[in-house]
Amino acid sequence: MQAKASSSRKVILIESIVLTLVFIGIVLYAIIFAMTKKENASKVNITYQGELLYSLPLSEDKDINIATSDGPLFIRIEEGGVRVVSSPCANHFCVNEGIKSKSGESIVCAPEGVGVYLIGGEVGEINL
Amino acid sequence: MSRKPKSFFLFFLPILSMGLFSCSSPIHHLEYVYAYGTTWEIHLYEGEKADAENLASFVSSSSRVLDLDSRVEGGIGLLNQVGQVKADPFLLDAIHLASEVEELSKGSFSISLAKLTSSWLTSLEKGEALSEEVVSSLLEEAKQTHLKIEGDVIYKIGDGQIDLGAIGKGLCLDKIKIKLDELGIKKYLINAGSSSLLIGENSSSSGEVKVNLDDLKGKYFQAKNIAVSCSSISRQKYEIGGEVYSHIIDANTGLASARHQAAILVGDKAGLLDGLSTCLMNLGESELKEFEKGGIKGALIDKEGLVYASEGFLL
Repeated sequence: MQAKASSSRKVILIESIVLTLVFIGIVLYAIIFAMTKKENASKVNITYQGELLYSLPLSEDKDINIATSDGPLFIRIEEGGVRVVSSPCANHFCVNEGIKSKSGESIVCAPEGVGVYLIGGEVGEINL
Repeated sequence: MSRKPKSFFLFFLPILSMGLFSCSSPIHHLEYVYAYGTTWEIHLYEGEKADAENLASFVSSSSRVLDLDSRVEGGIGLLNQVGQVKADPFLLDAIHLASEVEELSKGSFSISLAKLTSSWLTSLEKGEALSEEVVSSLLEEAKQTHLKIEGDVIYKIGDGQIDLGAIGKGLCLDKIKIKLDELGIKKYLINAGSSSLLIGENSSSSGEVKVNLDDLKGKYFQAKNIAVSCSSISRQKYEIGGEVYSHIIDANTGLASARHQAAILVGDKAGLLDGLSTCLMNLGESELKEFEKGGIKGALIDKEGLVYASEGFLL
Protein backbone atom coordinates (compact mmCIF):
# COMPACT_ATOMS: atom_id res chain seq x y z
CA MET A 1 0.00 0.00 0.00
CA GLN A 2 2.82 2.36 0.86
CA ALA A 3 4.55 1.40 -2.38
CA LYS A 4 1.36 2.20 -4.29
CA ALA A 5 1.06 5.63 -2.61
CA SER A 6 4.70 6.41 -3.32
CA SER A 7 4.24 5.41 -6.94
CA SER A 8 1.15 7.65 -7.20
CA ARG A 9 3.06 10.62 -5.80
CA LYS A 10 5.83 10.03 -8.33
CA VAL A 11 3.33 10.00 -11.19
CA ILE A 12 1.71 13.21 -9.94
CA LEU A 13 5.13 14.86 -9.69
CA ILE A 14 6.09 13.82 -13.20
CA GLU A 15 2.79 15.03 -14.59
CA SER A 16 3.17 18.37 -12.78
CA ILE A 17 6.64 18.83 -14.24
CA VAL A 18 5.42 17.98 -17.71
CA LEU A 19 2.48 20.39 -17.40
CA THR A 20 4.80 23.16 -16.20
CA LEU A 21 7.17 22.56 -19.11
CA VAL A 22 4.27 22.59 -21.55
CA PHE A 23 3.05 25.88 -20.08
CA ILE A 24 6.51 27.46 -20.30
CA GLY A 25 6.79 26.24 -23.89
CA ILE A 26 3.47 27.86 -24.81
CA VAL A 27 4.51 31.16 -23.23
CA LEU A 28 7.89 31.14 -24.99
CA TYR A 29 6.24 30.34 -28.30
CA ALA A 30 3.80 33.21 -27.82
CA ILE A 31 6.60 35.67 -27.05
CA ILE A 32 8.74 34.60 -30.02
CA PHE A 33 5.72 34.56 -32.30
CA ALA A 34 4.66 38.05 -31.22
CA MET A 35 8.16 39.45 -31.71
CA THR A 36 8.74 37.99 -35.16
CA LYS A 37 5.22 38.69 -36.34
CA LYS A 38 5.75 42.40 -35.82
CA GLU A 39 9.17 42.53 -37.36
CA ASN A 40 8.79 40.59 -40.61
CA ALA A 41 6.42 41.97 -43.17
CA SER A 42 4.08 39.56 -44.87
CA LYS A 43 2.85 41.77 -47.68
CA VAL A 44 3.97 44.54 -49.94
CA ASN A 45 1.75 47.33 -51.25
CA ILE A 46 2.91 49.09 -54.39
CA THR A 47 1.44 52.44 -55.28
CA TYR A 48 1.82 54.66 -58.30
CA GLN A 49 0.89 58.32 -57.87
CA GLY A 50 -1.02 57.40 -54.72
CA GLU A 51 -3.11 54.67 -56.31
CA LEU A 52 -2.67 51.17 -54.96
CA LEU A 53 -1.60 48.99 -57.89
CA TYR A 54 -0.57 45.77 -56.21
CA SER A 55 -0.92 44.13 -52.83
CA LEU A 56 1.23 41.02 -52.92
CA PRO A 57 2.50 38.42 -50.47
CA LEU A 58 6.24 38.44 -49.80
CA SER A 59 6.17 34.66 -49.67
CA GLU A 60 6.10 34.36 -53.48
CA ASP A 61 8.97 35.58 -55.65
CA LYS A 62 7.70 37.90 -58.35
CA ASP A 63 8.84 40.59 -60.77
CA ILE A 64 6.71 43.71 -61.18
CA ASN A 65 7.05 46.28 -63.92
CA ILE A 66 5.55 49.72 -63.31
CA ALA A 67 5.14 51.77 -66.49
CA THR A 68 5.92 55.28 -65.28
CA SER A 69 5.79 58.31 -67.55
CA ASP A 70 9.60 58.22 -67.80
CA GLY A 71 9.90 54.52 -68.48
CA PRO A 72 9.68 51.17 -66.73
CA LEU A 73 10.48 50.76 -63.04
CA PHE A 74 11.23 47.18 -62.02
CA ILE A 75 10.47 45.81 -58.59
CA ARG A 76 11.42 42.32 -57.44
CA ILE A 77 9.98 40.31 -54.58
CA GLU A 78 12.43 37.62 -53.51
CA GLU A 79 13.43 35.72 -50.40
CA GLY A 80 10.75 37.37 -48.27
CA GLY A 81 11.79 40.88 -49.19
CA VAL A 82 11.38 43.45 -51.92
CA ARG A 83 13.70 45.80 -53.80
CA VAL A 84 13.69 48.20 -56.72
CA VAL A 85 15.87 46.62 -59.37
CA SER A 86 15.94 49.51 -61.81
CA SER A 87 14.29 52.89 -62.24
CA PRO A 88 14.23 55.59 -64.92
CA CYS A 89 14.80 58.27 -62.25
CA ALA A 90 18.02 60.27 -62.31
CA ASN A 91 19.33 59.70 -58.80
CA HIS A 92 18.48 55.98 -58.18
CA PHE A 93 18.01 56.48 -54.44
CA CYS A 94 15.24 53.88 -54.65
CA VAL A 95 17.55 51.29 -56.21
CA ASN A 96 20.26 52.01 -53.65
CA GLU A 97 17.84 51.30 -50.79
CA GLY A 98 18.44 47.62 -51.40
CA ILE A 99 16.17 44.87 -50.11
CA LYS A 100 13.54 45.59 -47.47
CA SER A 101 11.68 42.98 -45.48
CA LYS A 102 10.43 44.49 -42.22
CA SER A 103 6.94 45.73 -41.52
CA GLY A 104 6.83 49.51 -41.77
CA GLU A 105 9.77 49.80 -44.17
CA SER A 106 9.27 51.47 -47.49
CA ILE A 107 11.05 52.41 -50.68
CA VAL A 108 9.83 55.55 -52.39
CA CYS A 109 10.84 56.73 -55.83
CA ALA A 110 9.59 60.30 -55.57
CA PRO A 111 10.49 61.43 -59.12
CA GLU A 112 8.49 58.56 -60.59
CA GLY A 113 5.71 58.62 -57.99
CA VAL A 114 6.18 54.97 -57.02
CA GLY A 115 5.88 53.77 -53.44
CA VAL A 116 6.71 50.32 -52.09
CA TYR A 117 5.35 49.71 -48.59
CA LEU A 118 5.88 46.64 -46.44
CA ILE A 119 3.04 45.72 -44.17
CA GLY A 120 2.07 42.81 -42.01
CA GLY A 121 1.28 44.08 -38.62
CA GLU A 122 1.87 47.13 -36.53
CA VAL A 123 4.62 49.43 -37.65
CA GLY A 124 7.27 49.14 -34.97
CA GLU A 125 10.05 50.88 -36.81
CA ILE A 126 10.09 53.65 -39.37
CA ASN A 127 12.71 55.60 -41.34
CA LEU A 128 12.64 59.38 -41.40
CA MET B 1 -9.14 12.59 -13.78
CA SER B 2 -8.72 9.37 -15.79
CA ARG B 3 -5.64 8.76 -17.90
CA LYS B 4 -7.19 9.32 -21.33
CA PRO B 5 -8.52 12.87 -20.75
CA LYS B 6 -5.21 13.75 -19.05
CA SER B 7 -3.28 12.58 -22.11
CA PHE B 8 -5.53 14.65 -24.32
CA PHE B 9 -4.92 17.66 -22.10
CA LEU B 10 -1.15 17.19 -22.11
CA PHE B 11 -0.68 16.59 -25.80
CA PHE B 12 -3.35 18.69 -27.49
CA LEU B 13 -3.41 21.79 -25.29
CA PRO B 14 -0.04 23.07 -26.55
CA ILE B 15 -0.98 22.40 -30.15
CA LEU B 16 -4.33 24.11 -29.68
CA SER B 17 -2.69 27.10 -28.00
CA MET B 18 -0.12 27.46 -30.77
CA GLY B 19 -2.87 27.29 -33.32
CA LEU B 20 -4.84 30.00 -31.55
CA PHE B 21 -1.82 32.32 -31.44
CA SER B 22 -1.11 31.76 -35.11
CA CYS B 23 -4.67 32.43 -36.18
CA SER B 24 -5.25 35.64 -34.22
CA SER B 25 -5.59 38.71 -36.44
CA PRO B 26 -4.99 42.05 -34.76
CA ILE B 27 -6.85 45.03 -36.16
CA HIS B 28 -4.96 46.94 -38.84
CA HIS B 29 -6.83 49.30 -41.13
CA LEU B 30 -4.53 50.77 -43.77
CA GLU B 31 -5.43 53.47 -46.26
CA TYR B 32 -3.24 55.24 -48.78
CA VAL B 33 -3.95 58.69 -50.14
CA TYR B 34 -1.95 60.98 -52.44
CA ALA B 35 -2.10 64.52 -51.10
CA TYR B 36 0.18 67.48 -50.42
CA GLY B 37 2.53 66.15 -53.07
CA THR B 38 3.21 62.83 -51.42
CA THR B 39 1.69 59.48 -50.52
CA TRP B 40 0.18 59.22 -47.06
CA GLU B 41 -0.23 56.01 -45.08
CA ILE B 42 -2.99 55.91 -42.51
CA HIS B 43 -2.52 52.99 -40.10
CA LEU B 44 -5.23 52.48 -37.52
CA TYR B 45 -4.83 49.61 -35.06
CA GLU B 46 -8.22 50.27 -33.47
CA GLY B 47 -11.60 51.41 -34.67
CA GLU B 48 -13.30 50.66 -37.96
CA LYS B 49 -12.16 50.59 -41.56
CA ALA B 50 -14.57 53.47 -42.21
CA ASP B 51 -12.57 55.60 -39.74
CA ALA B 52 -9.42 55.14 -41.81
CA GLU B 53 -11.35 55.82 -45.03
CA ASN B 54 -12.83 59.02 -43.56
CA LEU B 55 -9.41 60.23 -42.49
CA ALA B 56 -8.05 59.56 -45.98
CA SER B 57 -10.94 61.50 -47.44
CA PHE B 58 -10.23 64.41 -45.11
CA VAL B 59 -6.53 64.45 -46.09
CA SER B 60 -7.54 64.60 -49.73
CA SER B 61 -10.13 67.36 -49.34
CA SER B 62 -7.93 69.53 -47.11
CA SER B 63 -5.04 69.30 -49.55
CA ARG B 64 -7.23 70.74 -52.30
CA VAL B 65 -7.87 73.82 -50.15
CA LEU B 66 -4.11 74.52 -49.99
CA ASP B 67 -3.29 73.35 -53.52
CA LEU B 68 -1.98 76.32 -55.54
CA ASP B 69 -3.36 74.87 -58.75
CA SER B 70 -6.80 74.09 -57.39
CA ARG B 71 -9.75 76.45 -57.80
CA VAL B 72 -11.76 74.88 -55.00
CA GLU B 73 -14.12 77.30 -53.27
CA GLY B 74 -12.50 79.04 -50.32
CA GLY B 75 -9.06 77.77 -51.27
CA ILE B 76 -5.69 79.33 -51.75
CA GLY B 77 -5.77 78.90 -55.53
CA LEU B 78 -8.72 81.30 -55.77
CA LEU B 79 -7.16 83.69 -53.25
CA ASN B 80 -4.03 83.97 -55.38
CA GLN B 81 -6.00 84.28 -58.59
CA VAL B 82 -8.72 86.71 -57.53
CA GLY B 83 -7.13 88.48 -54.57
CA GLN B 84 -9.84 87.72 -52.08
CA VAL B 85 -11.81 84.73 -50.94
CA LYS B 86 -14.42 83.70 -48.40
CA ALA B 87 -12.04 81.28 -46.80
CA ASP B 88 -12.51 77.62 -46.10
CA PRO B 89 -12.02 77.10 -42.32
CA PHE B 90 -8.94 74.99 -43.06
CA LEU B 91 -7.37 77.87 -44.99
CA LEU B 92 -8.11 80.27 -42.15
CA ASP B 93 -6.51 77.90 -39.65
CA ALA B 94 -3.48 77.55 -41.91
CA ILE B 95 -3.01 81.31 -42.09
CA HIS B 96 -3.28 81.68 -38.31
CA LEU B 97 -0.77 78.88 -37.87
CA ALA B 98 1.56 80.54 -40.36
CA SER B 99 1.48 83.73 -38.25
CA GLU B 100 2.42 81.71 -35.21
CA VAL B 101 5.35 80.11 -37.04
CA GLU B 102 6.50 83.46 -38.40
CA GLU B 103 6.53 84.92 -34.88
CA LEU B 104 8.39 81.96 -33.36
CA SER B 105 10.94 81.90 -36.16
CA LYS B 106 11.48 85.67 -35.88
CA GLY B 107 10.84 86.35 -39.55
CA SER B 108 12.58 83.32 -41.03
CA PHE B 109 9.28 82.08 -42.37
CA SER B 110 7.16 83.60 -45.09
CA ILE B 111 4.00 82.48 -46.85
CA SER B 112 4.34 84.80 -49.82
CA LEU B 113 7.29 83.14 -51.53
CA ALA B 114 5.27 81.03 -54.00
CA LYS B 115 6.54 82.84 -57.13
CA LEU B 116 10.14 82.79 -55.92
CA THR B 117 9.93 79.08 -54.99
CA SER B 118 8.39 78.18 -58.32
CA SER B 119 10.99 80.21 -60.25
CA TRP B 120 13.83 78.59 -58.36
CA LEU B 121 12.56 75.04 -58.92
CA THR B 122 11.98 75.64 -62.63
CA SER B 123 15.47 77.07 -62.96
CA LEU B 124 17.17 74.34 -60.90
CA GLU B 125 15.46 71.61 -62.92
CA LYS B 126 17.15 73.13 -65.97
CA GLY B 127 20.48 73.08 -64.18
CA GLU B 128 20.68 76.83 -63.65
CA ALA B 129 20.61 79.15 -60.67
CA LEU B 130 18.34 82.20 -60.66
CA SER B 131 20.07 85.50 -61.27
CA GLU B 132 20.52 87.93 -58.39
CA GLU B 133 18.24 90.41 -60.15
CA VAL B 134 15.36 87.97 -60.41
CA VAL B 135 15.82 86.84 -56.81
CA SER B 136 15.86 90.45 -55.55
CA SER B 137 12.83 91.41 -57.55
CA LEU B 138 10.73 88.43 -56.53
CA LEU B 139 11.84 88.67 -52.89
CA GLU B 140 10.87 92.34 -52.77
CA GLU B 141 7.50 91.52 -54.31
CA ALA B 142 7.00 88.80 -51.67
CA LYS B 143 7.90 91.20 -48.85
CA GLN B 144 5.35 93.70 -50.13
CA THR B 145 2.61 91.07 -50.07
CA HIS B 146 0.47 90.48 -47.04
CA LEU B 147 -2.98 89.32 -46.03
CA LYS B 148 -5.87 91.14 -44.40
CA ILE B 149 -8.53 89.08 -42.66
CA GLU B 150 -12.03 90.36 -41.97
CA GLY B 151 -14.13 87.66 -40.39
CA ASP B 152 -13.86 84.74 -42.79
CA VAL B 153 -12.87 86.82 -45.81
CA ILE B 154 -9.21 87.03 -46.71
CA TYR B 155 -7.78 89.77 -48.88
CA LYS B 156 -4.38 89.49 -50.53
CA ILE B 157 -2.57 92.81 -50.76
CA GLY B 158 0.34 92.86 -53.20
CA ASP B 159 1.44 90.94 -56.27
CA GLY B 160 3.16 88.03 -54.55
CA GLN B 161 1.52 84.62 -54.32
CA ILE B 162 0.64 82.87 -51.10
CA ASP B 163 1.90 79.34 -50.45
CA LEU B 164 1.13 77.44 -47.27
CA GLY B 165 2.79 74.20 -48.35
CA ALA B 166 5.35 74.44 -45.55
CA ILE B 167 2.70 73.90 -42.89
CA GLY B 168 -0.10 72.13 -44.79
CA LYS B 169 0.81 68.55 -43.95
CA GLY B 170 1.41 69.38 -40.32
CA LEU B 171 -1.88 71.22 -39.93
CA CYS B 172 -3.69 68.31 -41.55
CA LEU B 173 -2.08 65.99 -38.98
CA ASP B 174 -3.24 68.28 -36.17
CA LYS B 175 -6.81 68.00 -37.44
CA ILE B 176 -6.47 64.23 -37.74
CA LYS B 177 -5.28 64.07 -34.13
CA ILE B 178 -8.45 65.86 -33.03
CA LYS B 179 -10.58 63.40 -35.01
CA LEU B 180 -8.73 60.40 -33.56
CA ASP B 181 -9.23 61.74 -30.03
CA GLU B 182 -12.93 62.17 -30.72
CA LEU B 183 -13.11 58.57 -31.95
CA GLY B 184 -11.20 57.33 -28.91
CA ILE B 185 -8.53 55.77 -31.12
CA LYS B 186 -5.14 55.68 -29.41
CA LYS B 187 -3.25 53.14 -31.52
CA TYR B 188 -2.32 54.61 -34.88
CA LEU B 189 0.46 55.81 -37.13
CA ILE B 190 -0.10 58.45 -39.78
CA ASN B 191 2.83 58.80 -42.15
CA ALA B 192 2.80 61.78 -44.51
CA GLY B 193 5.54 60.94 -46.98
CA SER B 194 8.10 60.02 -44.28
CA SER B 195 8.64 63.70 -43.51
CA SER B 196 5.72 64.32 -41.15
CA LEU B 197 4.41 61.70 -38.75
CA LEU B 198 1.70 61.39 -36.17
CA ILE B 199 2.58 58.52 -33.88
CA GLY B 200 0.09 57.13 -31.40
CA GLU B 201 0.67 53.98 -29.41
CA ASN B 202 1.42 50.46 -30.54
CA SER B 203 1.33 47.08 -28.92
CA SER B 204 5.00 46.77 -28.04
CA SER B 205 5.85 46.65 -24.35
CA SER B 206 6.92 50.30 -24.42
CA GLY B 207 4.12 51.37 -26.77
CA GLU B 208 6.77 53.22 -28.76
CA VAL B 209 7.84 53.26 -32.39
CA LYS B 210 11.51 53.34 -33.28
CA VAL B 211 12.27 56.16 -35.73
CA ASN B 212 15.53 55.77 -37.64
CA LEU B 213 17.21 58.81 -39.19
CA ASP B 214 18.22 58.40 -42.82
CA ASP B 215 20.40 61.52 -42.48
CA LEU B 216 22.26 60.16 -39.46
CA LYS B 217 22.82 56.43 -39.89
CA GLY B 218 22.76 54.45 -36.70
CA LYS B 219 20.89 57.10 -34.75
CA TYR B 220 17.23 56.89 -33.82
CA PHE B 221 14.67 58.00 -31.30
CA GLN B 222 11.69 56.30 -29.70
CA ALA B 223 8.31 57.94 -30.05
CA LYS B 224 4.71 57.60 -29.01
CA ASN B 225 1.80 60.03 -28.73
CA ILE B 226 3.77 62.65 -30.55
CA ALA B 227 4.13 64.49 -33.83
CA VAL B 228 7.35 64.43 -35.82
CA SER B 229 8.52 66.67 -38.63
CA CYS B 230 11.66 66.37 -40.70
CA SER B 231 13.03 68.79 -43.26
CA SER B 232 15.88 67.42 -45.31
CA ILE B 233 17.67 68.24 -48.52
CA SER B 234 19.47 64.92 -48.91
CA ARG B 235 17.03 63.75 -51.58
CA GLN B 236 16.00 67.12 -52.98
CA LYS B 237 19.19 68.97 -53.74
CA TYR B 238 20.84 70.28 -56.87
CA GLU B 239 24.54 70.80 -57.32
CA ILE B 240 25.26 73.53 -59.83
CA GLY B 241 28.63 75.15 -60.33
CA GLY B 242 29.95 73.73 -57.08
CA GLU B 243 27.04 75.19 -55.08
CA VAL B 244 24.34 73.13 -53.44
CA TYR B 245 20.78 74.34 -53.91
CA SER B 246 17.57 72.93 -52.47
CA HIS B 247 13.79 73.29 -52.46
CA ILE B 248 14.01 75.32 -49.22
CA ILE B 249 13.97 79.06 -49.82
CA ASP B 250 15.58 81.30 -47.22
CA ALA B 251 12.92 83.96 -46.49
CA ASN B 252 15.60 86.53 -45.61
CA THR B 253 17.86 86.19 -48.65
CA GLY B 254 15.57 84.62 -51.25
CA LEU B 255 18.21 81.98 -51.98
CA ALA B 256 17.36 78.33 -52.54
CA SER B 257 19.91 77.08 -50.12
CA ALA B 258 19.94 75.54 -46.70
CA ARG B 259 22.59 75.82 -44.00
CA HIS B 260 21.92 72.30 -42.78
CA GLN B 261 21.32 68.87 -44.24
CA ALA B 262 18.32 68.02 -42.06
CA ALA B 263 16.26 69.30 -39.16
CA ILE B 264 14.05 67.01 -37.10
CA LEU B 265 11.56 68.23 -34.52
CA VAL B 266 9.17 66.37 -32.23
CA GLY B 267 6.36 67.82 -30.12
CA ASP B 268 2.61 68.08 -29.69
CA LYS B 269 1.67 70.28 -32.63
CA ALA B 270 2.47 68.85 -36.05
CA GLY B 271 1.64 72.08 -37.89
CA LEU B 272 4.01 74.14 -35.81
CA LEU B 273 6.75 71.53 -36.18
CA ASP B 274 6.23 71.42 -39.93
CA GLY B 275 6.84 75.16 -40.28
CA LEU B 276 9.63 75.38 -37.72
CA SER B 277 11.59 72.43 -39.11
CA THR B 278 11.70 74.21 -42.49
CA CYS B 279 12.90 77.45 -40.87
CA LEU B 280 15.48 75.60 -38.81
CA MET B 281 17.23 74.53 -42.00
CA ASN B 282 18.52 78.10 -42.22
CA LEU B 283 18.75 78.82 -38.49
CA GLY B 284 20.98 77.28 -35.86
CA GLU B 285 21.47 75.61 -32.52
CA SER B 286 20.43 78.68 -30.54
CA GLU B 287 17.06 78.81 -32.29
CA LEU B 288 16.45 75.11 -31.63
CA LYS B 289 17.22 75.73 -27.96
CA GLU B 290 14.63 78.52 -28.00
CA PHE B 291 12.07 76.09 -29.45
CA GLU B 292 12.90 73.66 -26.64
CA LYS B 293 11.41 76.15 -24.17
CA GLY B 294 8.05 75.47 -25.82
CA GLY B 295 8.35 71.72 -25.24
CA ILE B 296 9.81 70.89 -28.65
CA LYS B 297 12.80 68.59 -29.00
CA GLY B 298 14.90 67.92 -32.04
CA ALA B 299 18.14 67.59 -33.89
CA LEU B 300 20.11 69.54 -36.48
CA ILE B 301 22.25 67.60 -38.91
CA ASP B 302 24.90 68.73 -41.39
CA LYS B 303 26.57 66.62 -44.07
CA GLU B 304 29.47 66.16 -41.63
CA GLY B 305 27.11 64.80 -38.99
CA LEU B 306 25.16 65.90 -35.95
CA VAL B 307 25.29 69.61 -35.15
CA TYR B 308 23.07 69.55 -32.10
CA ALA B 309 20.42 67.35 -30.48
CA SER B 310 18.15 68.05 -27.54
CA GLU B 311 19.21 66.29 -24.39
CA GLY B 312 18.15 62.66 -24.35
CA PHE B 313 16.50 62.90 -27.75
CA LEU B 314 18.68 60.63 -29.85
CA LEU B 315 19.69 57.09 -29.00
